[in-house]
Amino acid sequence: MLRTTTMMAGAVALTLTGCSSIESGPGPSEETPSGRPAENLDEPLLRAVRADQQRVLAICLAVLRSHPRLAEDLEPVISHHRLHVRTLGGTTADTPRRRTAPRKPVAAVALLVETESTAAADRAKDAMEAVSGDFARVLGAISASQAQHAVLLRAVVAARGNGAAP
Amino acid sequence: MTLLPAASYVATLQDALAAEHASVYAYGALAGRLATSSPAQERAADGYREHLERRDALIAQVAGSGAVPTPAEPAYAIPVRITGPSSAARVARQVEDRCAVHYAAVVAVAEAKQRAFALDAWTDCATRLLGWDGRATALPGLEQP
Repeated sequence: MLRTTTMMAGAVALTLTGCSSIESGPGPSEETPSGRPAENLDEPLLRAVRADQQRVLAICLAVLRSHPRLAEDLEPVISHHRLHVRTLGGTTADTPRRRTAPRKPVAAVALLVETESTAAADRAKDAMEAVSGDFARVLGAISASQAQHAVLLRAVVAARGNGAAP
Repeated sequence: MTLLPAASYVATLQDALAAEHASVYAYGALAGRLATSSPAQERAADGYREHLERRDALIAQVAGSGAVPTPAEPAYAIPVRITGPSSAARVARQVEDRCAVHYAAVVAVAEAKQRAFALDAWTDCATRLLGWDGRATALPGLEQP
């Protein structure tokens, strides 16, 4: 566990470095044919992706607040989403607070399945729009992570829908 | 005049192709050693088929770029002795982790319009991993497996 956490921190530091250069303008990274650094051209996309990932995190937090018994299933997912937001240069403190979540646990998790699937597809599309290859790689990883969430949460819906779990 | 793709892009495709050759071999070995018609064997057979498709697509892409596709090795060392579903899962997780890293490398150097294939393959690796009791992670393919 310690090993995994340490390596994870390394990966995050790497991507955060990449993203801080997106924010701070010209860096040592790739130049585009127009002569402008790729990172500057990606700024509007970065802002949009960050806002969308904060929205996804807010939905997960709202479901957890309404259904604390889902904590075991949701906490790893939420921790990944916090890391996604931080990797994109955002903070999790300014995540919009969303008040409502479906009242039935199965419906709430089904909402998350849909949210994760859509976000995974959207990040893959974004990765094909990004000018910077490094940024595209971060978007691809976030997409793959959310595809994993959709699979795991779909299994939760299936188990609860069949009455196999409380 | 048609410009050939940048060398580094073709190099990452070749690396991904080498990884897919090894994946096909590994999944073939798993399917051969697991109990016939067991869920693990069926999963291994699915993995074999899916990696075979990716391998063939990569061969076509490399050849299309004007390069000679990296050939498969005659055999690959499998680092774990496969005695059942649990050791098979360890091998499969290594396969999926490694391929994800290679597809991430392709995405990083590909032109925007060329990224779709690698993104799709990357997500497949990340989700197939879960079928082998792999753990979901925040940035699959960017973390060291």
